[in-house]
Amino acid sequence: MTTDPTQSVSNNPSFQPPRKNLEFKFHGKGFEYFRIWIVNILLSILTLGIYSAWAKVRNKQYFYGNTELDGASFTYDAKPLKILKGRMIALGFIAFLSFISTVNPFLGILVPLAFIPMTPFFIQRSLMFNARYSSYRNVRFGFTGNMKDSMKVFAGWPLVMIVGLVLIALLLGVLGLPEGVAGGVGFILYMIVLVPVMFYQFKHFVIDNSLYGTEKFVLRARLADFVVVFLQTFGMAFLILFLTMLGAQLLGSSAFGNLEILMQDEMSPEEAGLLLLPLVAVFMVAGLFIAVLPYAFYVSWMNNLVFNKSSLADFEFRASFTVLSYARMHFVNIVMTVLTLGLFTPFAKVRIARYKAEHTQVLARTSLDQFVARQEQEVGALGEAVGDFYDLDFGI
Amino acid sequence: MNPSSFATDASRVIGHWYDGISSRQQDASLSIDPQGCVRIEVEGQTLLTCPLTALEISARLGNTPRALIFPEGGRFETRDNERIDQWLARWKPSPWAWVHHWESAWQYVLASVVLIGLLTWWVIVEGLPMAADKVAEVLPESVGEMLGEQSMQILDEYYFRPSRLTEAERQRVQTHFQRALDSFPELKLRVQFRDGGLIGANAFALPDGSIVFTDQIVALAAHDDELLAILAHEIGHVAENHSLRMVVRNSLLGFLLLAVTGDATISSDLLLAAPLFMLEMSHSRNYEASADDFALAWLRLNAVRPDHFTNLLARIEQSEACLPDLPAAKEENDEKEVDIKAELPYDLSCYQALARGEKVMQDEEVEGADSESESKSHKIWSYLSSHPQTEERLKRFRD
Repeated sequence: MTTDPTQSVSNNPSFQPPRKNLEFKFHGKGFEYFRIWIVNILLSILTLGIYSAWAKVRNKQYFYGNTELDGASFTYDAKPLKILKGRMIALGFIAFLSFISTVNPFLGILVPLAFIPMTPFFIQRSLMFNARYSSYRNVRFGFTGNMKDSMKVFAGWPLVMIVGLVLIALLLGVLGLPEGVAGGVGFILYMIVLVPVMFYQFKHFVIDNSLYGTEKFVLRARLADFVVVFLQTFGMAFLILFLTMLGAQLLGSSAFGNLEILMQDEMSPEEAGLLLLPLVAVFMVAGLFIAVLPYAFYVSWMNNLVFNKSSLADFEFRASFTVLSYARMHFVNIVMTVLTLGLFTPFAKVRIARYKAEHTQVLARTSLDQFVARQEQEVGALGEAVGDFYDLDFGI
Repeated sequence: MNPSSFATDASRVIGHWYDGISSRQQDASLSIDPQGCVRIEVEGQTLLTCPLTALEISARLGNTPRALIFPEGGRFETRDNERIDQWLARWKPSPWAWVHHWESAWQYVLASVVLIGLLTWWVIVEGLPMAADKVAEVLPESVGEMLGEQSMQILDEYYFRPSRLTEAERQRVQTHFQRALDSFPELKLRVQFRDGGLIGANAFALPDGSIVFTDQIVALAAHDDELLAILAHEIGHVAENHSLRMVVRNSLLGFLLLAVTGDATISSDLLLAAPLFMLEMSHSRNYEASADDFALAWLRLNAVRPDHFTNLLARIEQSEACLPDLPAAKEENDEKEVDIKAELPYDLSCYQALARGEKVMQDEEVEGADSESESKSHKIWSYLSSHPQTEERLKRFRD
């Protein structure tokens, strides 16, 4: 074993070598992952869900293992048995709660309320579990967010949001604005003030508490940055909505006008309907792409913000998602997934992972060799399992 | 041991060494001797030796790098998966190697696709309806009553207008129905009359036991026994709890789709809705056939001629010609769509003419139109229609 004392990156601040761009690379192949995915599903069904814990690890490790940065790939090495145990506990817990609600209907009403304080707990545990079992160059990631902060961010702030919404409604009521205007103003205030505040809290909680080895990640994004992202997203969404309605009106009136002429020419409503089908298909495809656009705006701007303002020691991140390219990828994924009755799902996942890798970089001043591993204890999989159950997914 | 004796290809792989203390990456090679003892070499120096059996070796997963983890925490990673597999087969056979074998052999992959496809098909076509029927059975009666009331409210608000049949007419039909209604006291059957408006001649069964006859269908009947036959069909729906089963099925199916496509965005719902709609339609066609069987059995038992049912059914289809023109009505009421029904004319003469056996023709219908293409398009639309092709149903009753 080597005994070289490893030098911490932060120990040499005076020296500023030129920056180097390190690219992420994704080596996964659609068909290769398809085979893993389909065998995972089959074995999960045949074992009545028991294999799903192994499937989960294999899925995740496939994406980690195929993601390469500076000649080394990432590792996800959670123990499936641990995940299975966590899932069993979660399942038992849910069974217990539903048993309670059948025995005593009054307690049954309280059961959903119990989930409010429990959600922050599960989120915090699953962030910890995921970080603990993710590593790069044999140095583990980590998560130090505590329960108190998790409560504040994932139960406190949503509560503040609800109170805020009520206050806005009351205020607008007092001002006596007409219903439509009040609703619009309330919605805009909610979306460009309260929602950004919540996301600001979420992202800072997740990133500022993340570790690689002994180094902390830092998110420098300010609240104003989040407000801008939501302002831009909603501005674009409304613009798209407006243009779409305008276009649909023009297109629709001419198309239906033609149809009316056809119907006057001895055509049964059934035949007219058949003629309409391709038109409806075109509308659906165009509509789908338009519906994907606001999502693409949000994902690319939010992702770029979070990465571009994140750093780890001397390393900075750069993301360059572009709205059109992201929308195109996502659109093809949805259409193909539906057309193939879901069989395209693994290909879609590989496409997303490749897109992310191709549009993310690390700016390095020093070598990635100098991070130091921590010594720490294991983390239970309960939070991870329940987080998985809720299908929670946090960037980074 | 002499290091040069390991220099053959089969006993050496190259990769990277990570010590587990820092993130330092070092080029390294790993070699194995015939006894299964491995040796890590970095820059020509031997770092560690260890029996292969003492290492934790990650499972093969596609072509992702393979990790060999030493007890002290060091990690050797290599892309030479094939070589590692050979070593494992010889010195440390893994009980899990078959998973990768399944994942790489197209036969297993194809079999998986087929099996999962069949299973999914079975769940949707058999399993889900079965589960839904079980759920519908154990739902308390109040659920059916609530659903019935709500449906009636919606129908009244958007489609129906109050019946304009005379008290005497209603009483006559009601009296004629009494015998049938009395034979199913447990179903809490209630007959109600409404002006069908745009719906025209039809009858509906609601989950709470309400059976609605439109004024138009009453006018369309040439004989009260025809209405009695339709009543028997609707009682079939109520007796077999079709509406409630349908509601439970649809919500279960929706839930299942949500669970499976959890990460799908709203936009894909549009496309998912189409197959869902087809499936619902095929379910409801089965319900119609089953209610037909129920009606047929009851009619035979009570010595009512089954052709009363088919006659009225055939006339209902013809009565589409009697429906008021929608486009004209719509243009006038572009502002308030709900008001369309208020503006509709109330005219039963067309239905009464049909009941007398007269032929009614739609204005646009031209004698000798291309009948072949028409019947073709009819077939396509009948697939989407909830009522089985009338001819198909008539045949069942004649046999």
